[in-house]
Amino acid sequence: MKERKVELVVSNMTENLATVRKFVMDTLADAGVSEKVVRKIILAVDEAVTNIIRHAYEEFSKGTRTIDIKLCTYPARKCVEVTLHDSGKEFNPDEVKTPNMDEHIRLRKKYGLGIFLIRKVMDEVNYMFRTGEENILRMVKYLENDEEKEGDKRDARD
Amino acid sequence: MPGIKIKTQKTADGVAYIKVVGFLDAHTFVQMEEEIVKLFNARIYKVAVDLSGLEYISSAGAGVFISNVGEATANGGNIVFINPSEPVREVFDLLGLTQIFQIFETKEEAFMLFRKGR
Repeated sequence: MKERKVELVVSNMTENLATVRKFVMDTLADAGVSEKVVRKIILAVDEAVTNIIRHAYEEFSKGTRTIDIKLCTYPARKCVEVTLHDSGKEFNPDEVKTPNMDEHIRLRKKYGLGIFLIRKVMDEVNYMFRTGEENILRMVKYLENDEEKEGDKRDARD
Repeated sequence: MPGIKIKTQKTADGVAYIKVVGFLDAHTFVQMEEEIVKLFNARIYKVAVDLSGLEYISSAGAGVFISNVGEATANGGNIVFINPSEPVREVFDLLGLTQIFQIFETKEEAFMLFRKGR
């Protein structure tokens, strides 16, 4: 894997999700990360950006706020780190309970699975905030762990 | 921009076949939701969704099926999937949906289920 440090700033519009996914895909493919791992990181970043647009920036009009995405690859540590900054409402993923899929279906819920997916595909998820100023979500994926962890992760029905 | 294409065919015996191609995310899910609601409004509750051409799905996309399958089954139908692409199958596995939704390899197999009366 090659070292990369890149940044993308997008506004709070779901139209931008395609741009975000392409940014992650192009950067990580160029860095030599495997397609399967790239797909997982794309999913985590898409879910995180979606949460910022829907929750952190809930009270703001479309396209009026920014989301800053920093994507770094560290060959020595064999990991990919993604950091997202926003200036919206604080949102602590640690307060989100693990969803029960049968209950989601019974209650006909449309939302509430993003954080669960992020935790499943990434190895570290940390959140920091300074009220009214900045929220920072940091996610790390260790590449060599990926295959062996596949069988260990539990799904939403457990 | 990568978006979504949805094409629906309805059979005379009340089964809908939806072919969805592209990317199903927090932007495009609205179109999928509208398509399913349109079928329900026409009292078509047996829905087979062909996911072989779907390149990407996020939880917002999966949420369309999760939130609507109850309405389908409550009315004697179901929402089933046909041949999900590998990226889509991976997300379904992560969410545990492969154990909840019925997945078929072909359109014929999916239709056979509905014609058996389920």
